Amino acid sequence: MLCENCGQQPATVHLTTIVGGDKTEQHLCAACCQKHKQALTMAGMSTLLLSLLQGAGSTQHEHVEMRCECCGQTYDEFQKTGMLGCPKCYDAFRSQLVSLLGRIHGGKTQHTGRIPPRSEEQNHAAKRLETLRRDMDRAVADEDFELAAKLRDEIRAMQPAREEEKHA
Amino acid sequence: MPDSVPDRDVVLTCRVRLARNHADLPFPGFLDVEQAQESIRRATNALEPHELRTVSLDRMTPIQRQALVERHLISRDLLRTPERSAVLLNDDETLSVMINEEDHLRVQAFVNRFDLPLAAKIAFEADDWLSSKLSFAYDIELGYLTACPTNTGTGMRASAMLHLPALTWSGEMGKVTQAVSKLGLTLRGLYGEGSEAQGDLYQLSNQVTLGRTESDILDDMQSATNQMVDWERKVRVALHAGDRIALEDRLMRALGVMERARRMNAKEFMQRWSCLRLGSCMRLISIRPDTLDRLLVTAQPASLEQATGESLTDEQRDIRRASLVQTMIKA
Ligand SMILES: [Zn+2]
Ligand SMILES: [Zn+2]
Repeated sequence: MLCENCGQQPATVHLTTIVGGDKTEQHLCAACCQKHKQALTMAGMSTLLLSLLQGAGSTQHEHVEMRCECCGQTYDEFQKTGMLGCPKCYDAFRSQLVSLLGRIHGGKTQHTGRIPPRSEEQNHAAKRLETLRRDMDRAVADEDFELAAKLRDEIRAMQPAREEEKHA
Repeated sequence: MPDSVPDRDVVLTCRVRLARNHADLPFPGFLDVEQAQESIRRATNALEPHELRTVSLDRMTPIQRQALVERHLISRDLLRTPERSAVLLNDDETLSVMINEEDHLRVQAFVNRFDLPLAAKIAFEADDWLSSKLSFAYDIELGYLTACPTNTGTGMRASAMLHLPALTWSGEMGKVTQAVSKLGLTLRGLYGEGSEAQGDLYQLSNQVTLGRTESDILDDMQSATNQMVDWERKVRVALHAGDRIALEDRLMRALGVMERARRMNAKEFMQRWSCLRLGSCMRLISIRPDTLDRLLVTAQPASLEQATGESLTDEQRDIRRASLVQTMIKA
């Protein structure tokens, strides 16, 4: 197999990158891998990954890099700092985190405590409202006032309902 | 004079802290300036009806900020990024909501006695205010999602501040620390670096936040704290029974120095303070424990400097500290 970057040297390094469940593979020669590594350093990649990449020589080497597609945090970086980047990281690194959480919290990984009140419904309403507002703005910009008025009524109809919810 | 507050001889304060995050924003360490402002704005709006005072850290001097840490209203961590953080406080300062610390929201209830149920009530009430307006990062399996997995689940850390001079002086702390770790709790020194516990003050808190309910965790904390109180009291009695003169000599010497010294650095102050508090609780010294607890805060470096209203050299600070001690213990 030839290096997919330069197409001249044999590919000796095989990189697997997982972003949000999508797996991409790169097959590079040693020289292109070196360049790739420098590019990653610029982007603030972890030294752990670099050391793994450094070890790549004439023999095959594979490194699985997991990355949260929402915030860009990598599992390697997390292992260095102990800090996740965003709530979606919990989905991106789920299986690793679940076993880590088990080790931290005495073996248990199922939450049994408080549940935020109507979290699902609220999320849904907030998203719907956001979409309606955006559509209304667009309708106004397009001078489609009939549609804008209809959307405005829909937004109004949602808001008092949410107010009542709060006081219920 | 007898103190009507139960367990005051060992427990100074207790605290319940909840970590919460907005579902749709990166955790604070990953926020850009605008998102950080958005996080502050959301929390401020959600808490608006509840008459909390917003303290903008960016408009304070470093000394003023440090004084908030000494009063346990904010954490040291919040000061790493004062320009993008804020804190909201209620009137009697039993509730503080830190914004953009390690998590977007850190709700903290702080009570000046051993009353975990009260601290929990204050914290959960604020959590209800917030969660009726905000949508928090939450996962059906893992619970509240936090920036660091050590807080995932309930996001709750309950703690008690303990004064354990007898256990410390008799070399029992190793055993005590081991015993609490078996219960999923941790014990660490509250003042000083590393393993030293200046003033013989410790914080007992829960380590586990996932897989147990908030009330389970609070029950564990309650019973472990009760055990520590019993243990410390027994050793106090044993020390006094074993060598009464040695113990009283130690405490009275501390009283002598506190009443007369012209300057005192923080470390020495903590040592003497511990003796005074033990003496007070054993009715050997007639200074009220709550006076000593106030002194513990006001004699810290930033609080001293703030009360003076001018910046002080170390030497000046030590002189002020000695004179503050005398004013307060004579009053
Ligand atoms: Zn190549
Ligand atoms: Zn993420």
